[in-house]
Amino acid sequence: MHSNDPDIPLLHLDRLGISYGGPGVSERLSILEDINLTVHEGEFVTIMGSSGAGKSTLLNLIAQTLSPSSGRIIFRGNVVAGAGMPQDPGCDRQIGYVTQDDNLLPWQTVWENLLFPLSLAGRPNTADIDRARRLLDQVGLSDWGGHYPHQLSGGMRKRASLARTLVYNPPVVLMDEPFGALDAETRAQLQEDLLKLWEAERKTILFVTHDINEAIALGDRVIVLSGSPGRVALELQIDIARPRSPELIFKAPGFAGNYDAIRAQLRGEPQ
Amino acid sequence: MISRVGVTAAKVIGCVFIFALWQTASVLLGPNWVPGIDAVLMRLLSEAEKGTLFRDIAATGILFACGTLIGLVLGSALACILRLSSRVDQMLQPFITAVMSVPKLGLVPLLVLWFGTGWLPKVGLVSLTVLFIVFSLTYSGIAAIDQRLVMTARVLGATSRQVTRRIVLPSLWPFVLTGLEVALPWALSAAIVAEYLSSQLGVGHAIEQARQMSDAVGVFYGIVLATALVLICNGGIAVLRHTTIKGRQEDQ
Repeated sequence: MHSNDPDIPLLHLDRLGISYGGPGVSERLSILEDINLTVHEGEFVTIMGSSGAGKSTLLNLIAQTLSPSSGRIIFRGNVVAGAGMPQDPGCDRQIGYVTQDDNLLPWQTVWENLLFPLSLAGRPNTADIDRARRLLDQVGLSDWGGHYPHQLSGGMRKRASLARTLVYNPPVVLMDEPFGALDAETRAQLQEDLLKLWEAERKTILFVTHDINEAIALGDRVIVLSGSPGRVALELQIDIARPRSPELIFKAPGFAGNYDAIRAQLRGEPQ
Repeated sequence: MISRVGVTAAKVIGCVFIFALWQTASVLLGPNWVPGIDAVLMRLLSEAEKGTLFRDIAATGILFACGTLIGLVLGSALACILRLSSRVDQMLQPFITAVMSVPKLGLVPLLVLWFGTGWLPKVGLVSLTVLFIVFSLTYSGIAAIDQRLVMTARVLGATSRQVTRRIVLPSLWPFVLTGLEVALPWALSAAIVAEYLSSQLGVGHAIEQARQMSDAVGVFYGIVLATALVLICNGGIAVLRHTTIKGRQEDQ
C-alpha cells in the first residue's frame, strides 16, 4: 500500500464515471463519464470547468464520499474504489479533503478541531501535538486556538480547516474552491501560504477553482472538465518557474498563452 | 444589546410589578379570594418549620424526576428508532401523531383503571407527558444533524461509533435540553394533577387538601411551591446548557 515506486503513479483514475437516477439507461443522468487522469507524487493539479461540469463530484469520488457508477480509482497501485465496491471515505486517512464549507465542529475550539482527526486514531502523542502547534502557527492562528469557529472570520476558518486536514498528514489533499468566497487580498495571502505549505509538506494536491489566474498560479498542471456529462477536455502543463507569486502571476512569461487556452476551452471555443 | 445590569434591573422591575398586582388584587378582592403575600409567606415558613414543606417537595420532586427521566429516555429512544428505520417510521408515525394529540391529562381515568391509585399511574402520567415532547424535539433534532459534519468526520477516519459519539450526540444535545425545558412545566402539572387524585403527600396533595378546607392561603402556598419547583429546574437546565454547550451550534 505504501510503496513509493516512482513508476507507479500515486493516483490513477481509470475511466471513472458517475450517473444518478433510475435503473434504465434512458432514465439516468450522467454527471461524469470516462475520466482518465494520472497524478504523480508531489504534483499540484488544478481542476477547472464550467459550472455543472462535475468538478466537486470528481473530488467527492476521489474522497470516496460518493461511489462511482463505472471505472476505478487506483491509489499507489491498489484499486481503492470502483463501481460496486464498498465506500471508504478518506481512503483510510490517505486522502484529505478541504471542502467548500469549512465544516469545523461548531462546539469545539480551533485547537480542539485541529486535534480532532488525531484523537480519532487514539490519544495524540507529543510529536502529534507539536505538529498541530506548528501548523496552527503556519496558518497564522496561534493566537486563536482557544476561540470557537463562529468567532473567526471566513478566511480564518478556511485556514483552520486546512490545518485540520494537514495535521494527520494525508499524502493527497483535495481542495474544493477553498478560497472562492474570500476577498481578493485574503485570497492572495492564502494562495501564497498554501504554496509554501505544499512545498514544505511535499503533498499531492488536487485543487478545484473557477478562477483561471488561480489555476495557473498554483498548478503544475491544469485540467479542464467540460460537457455534459463532464469529461477531461484539456490537460495543460504550466511551465511557469517556481517560486511563483500568485498575486502577480499575470506578469509571468507564458501566462497569456495558458490563460487564452483555458479560457477558450471554458467558453467552448475549440482552437 | 441590553447590558447585564439592565437585564437584572428589568427582572427586578418585573417582580415588583407582579407582587404589586398580587397585593392590589388581595386588597380589592379580599383575602378569601386572593390571600396577601404576607399570609402565603407565613404559611411557607410555618410549613417549613413543621417539615411538611420539605416532605411535599421531596414527594413531588421524586415523582417529577422519575417520570421525567423515564420520559426522556423513552422519548429519545423512540425518536432514534424511528429515524434509524424509515419502514418503522412510516408504520408508526401516524399512530404517534394521533397519540400525541390526545391530551395526556385526559388519560388519567384510564391510567387509574389500569394501574389503580398507587405510584405507577402517577409516574406513568408524568412520563407520557415528557415522552412525546422530548420525542418530537429529538426527532427533528436528528433531521437537523449536519450531514456535512458527519461526512467530514468519516473522511477524517471516524468509525460509525466515533461519528455517533463525536458528531451525532453533541448535535442532538441542545435539542434534548430544549425538549426538557419545554416539558418541565407540563411534567410538573402532570405530577400535581396525579397527586390531586390520590396521594398522602406532595404539592398536589397539599393544594387539594387546602381546597377541601376552603383554605385559600393553602392553595396559594401550593401554587407558589409548584412555581418555585419549575423555576429551580429551569435554572438547573440553564446551568447545564451553559456548562455543556460550547461554541455555537448553527441552529441556536
